[in-house]
Amino acid sequence: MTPANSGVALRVENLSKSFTLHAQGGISLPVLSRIDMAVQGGECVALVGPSGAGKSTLLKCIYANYLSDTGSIKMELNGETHDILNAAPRDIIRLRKESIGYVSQFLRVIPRISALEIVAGPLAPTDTPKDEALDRARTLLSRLNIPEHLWNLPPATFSGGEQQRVNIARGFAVHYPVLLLDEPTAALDRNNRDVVIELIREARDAGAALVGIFHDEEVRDAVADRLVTVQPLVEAA
Amino acid sequence: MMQETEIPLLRVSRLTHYYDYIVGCRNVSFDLYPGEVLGIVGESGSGKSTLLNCISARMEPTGGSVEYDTRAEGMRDLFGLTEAERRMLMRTDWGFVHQNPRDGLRMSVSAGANIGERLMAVGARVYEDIRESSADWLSRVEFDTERMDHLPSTFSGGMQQRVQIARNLVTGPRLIFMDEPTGGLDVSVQARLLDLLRELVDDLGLSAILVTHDLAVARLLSHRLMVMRGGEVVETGLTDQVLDDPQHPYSQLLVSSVLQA
Repeated sequence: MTPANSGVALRVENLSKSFTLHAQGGISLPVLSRIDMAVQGGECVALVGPSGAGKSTLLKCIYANYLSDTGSIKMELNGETHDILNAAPRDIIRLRKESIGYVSQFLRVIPRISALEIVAGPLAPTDTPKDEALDRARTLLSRLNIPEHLWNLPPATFSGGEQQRVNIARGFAVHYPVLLLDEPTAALDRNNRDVVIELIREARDAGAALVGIFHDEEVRDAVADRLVTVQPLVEAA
Repeated sequence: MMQETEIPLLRVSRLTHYYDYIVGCRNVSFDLYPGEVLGIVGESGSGKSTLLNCISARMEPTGGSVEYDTRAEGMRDLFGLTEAERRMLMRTDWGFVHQNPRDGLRMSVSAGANIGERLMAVGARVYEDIRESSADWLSRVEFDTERMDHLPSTFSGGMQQRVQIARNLVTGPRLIFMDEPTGGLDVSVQARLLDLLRELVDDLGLSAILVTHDLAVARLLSHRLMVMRGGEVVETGLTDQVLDDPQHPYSQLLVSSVLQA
């Protein structure tokens, strides 16, 4: 199989991140130290390590949701290199539109917006025609077993599992070349978990570079090509 | 990096304003690019509104400069423009949405006339065209056009705010200033209006500067945040980064002070 995005790569080098808590007398909590990781297009890497080791923090640093202290995070896309840690906010926003996706298990509900529109939302700034975007949203919602009568309702009143699946559908709406997954299958039933496994494999086979946290070992075994261990720092200190 | 040649729409440099000896805002610098929404957050008295008023040329700052990429002549210093040029800019290429719609509307003329007035200020003269444009904009802000001939004083706060927004957008501005645009409204009306603003800003590709003390509003509407305290900018960055990983002691305090609903 020839991946569609063969020019995709994500490189994390010597990355360190600590949190300074000013309200607690300015104590500093080191979370990540000298992390190195490289992920190619068409590959899914699973982050492993005990709870609190900084796996989610690493994903958030890559997504530029968290600031990193030192090191570098670079994304290669179609021959262009993007330096995440030195990018202007508008460059990050541009990258997030088409190039880098992030799926957590939590849906941030926007008042009054229907599930269908929430899922199609990320396609709006990508020049995808509206009807095509809605079609893609319908396909994802039905694959994730959200009953059709809920599609036009705002998900605020949905069950936790339904909201989680709406969020996953939203995360997979755009075919991002780099996709970050923070426990996307936590608390899903077997059936829906298998759908997510399929979605992840499809993205990988289409050439995306994926990095994920999967506490469910079955899921991890089903999708990960490689494991990267994130060690907790506190014990080492 | 990408698009290094991109020209900002607005460039604020070392902007400073004193009220006699009291600092309104000090040494504020930033660029705003086309399509970007900048949120300014901070507690009351932090200088947010002073800054907004200086940038929008409603007040002349004590020091520093504000440059704007005008349609006709490119980058111009706002306070180097003539009064007439500045007024033209404010009436056409800019909009200002006040917290209290009474500050942005003429209460003694109808909703339709409030919108038509701004069109006439830029030269529209044909009554039918003006009326059609007004009705079109009122429906885009989800205002019942049956009521376009009524006075704003007979509308609810949410309806008045819609009229104010329509009045601002009718001339096709590129930059909108918003000062707590949903501040005085109850929660359900606020959610609908926020959603409408978000859609309009996206669809029209507007640039906006939004002053708010409500971090949820800032998260929903703005791409980038500036945190102010005591007249100075203490932190600036991507909105979700500032809210989820605040660096400055004051930003951390601000974010941790919000009650979880």
